[in-house]
Amino acid sequence: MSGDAEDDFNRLYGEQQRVVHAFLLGRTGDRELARDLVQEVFLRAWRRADAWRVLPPERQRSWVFTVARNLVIDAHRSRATAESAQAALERAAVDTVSEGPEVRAEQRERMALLDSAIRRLPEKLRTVLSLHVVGGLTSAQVGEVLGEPAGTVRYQLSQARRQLAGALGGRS
Amino acid sequence: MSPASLPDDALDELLGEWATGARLTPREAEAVRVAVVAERPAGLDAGWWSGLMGQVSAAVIEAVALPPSARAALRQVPALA
Repeated sequence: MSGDAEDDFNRLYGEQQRVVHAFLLGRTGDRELARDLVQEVFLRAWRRADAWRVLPPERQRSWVFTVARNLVIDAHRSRATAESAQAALERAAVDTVSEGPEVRAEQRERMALLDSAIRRLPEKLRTVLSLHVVGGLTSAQVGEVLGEPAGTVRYQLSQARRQLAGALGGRS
Repeated sequence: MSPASLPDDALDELLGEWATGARLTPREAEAVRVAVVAERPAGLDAGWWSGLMGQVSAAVIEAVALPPSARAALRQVPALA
């Protein structure tokens, strides 16, 4: 692989990793699986650098997301997502927090509740939410990634927030 | 908003915390990048690749925010040391 190809790959990775990860997290609802799939997406990009390097930047992103979508479909087919969702919930419950035991226990509980509520969201809403809050995209940018109008994304975001607020109401 | 639902600002705060925990850390992201570009051209030895992935996986596990007790336990496993 030439140095130029590696430079191009590093640029693509730097620009797209966070959003691709947010997309995969939303689609799978599983942090561990999303991380594995990020690696697989970019491994394919690395192997097929000749396919996307000739494309303009906006189409390079489309190329990467096509790979990501296909991998998610494969993951769903293998049913790995459903099996690992519960394990991911359990892992989330032991995420570290640096404060004392009582605060840590409260924060763990809050995060576990939120994580569980997010996982129970319909996949579409979870993906929109993840792209927005994890990927840091605006509604318009989320719409570009998912091929949806920005207004639809805003509505879906409000639906997701409403469901989460209802699920967590009175518990925080 | 119904009386039983979480206020917007509280939800924003929680989602911010959740997003921070959900993102790949810079160290994790770099570990993934390094693992990808380390791939050799076609025909590489499967054992070499398997060994590399084992090392990368161990590094990623350590990089993930595990409780100190869990990190200490991982260090007790000879294969991950």
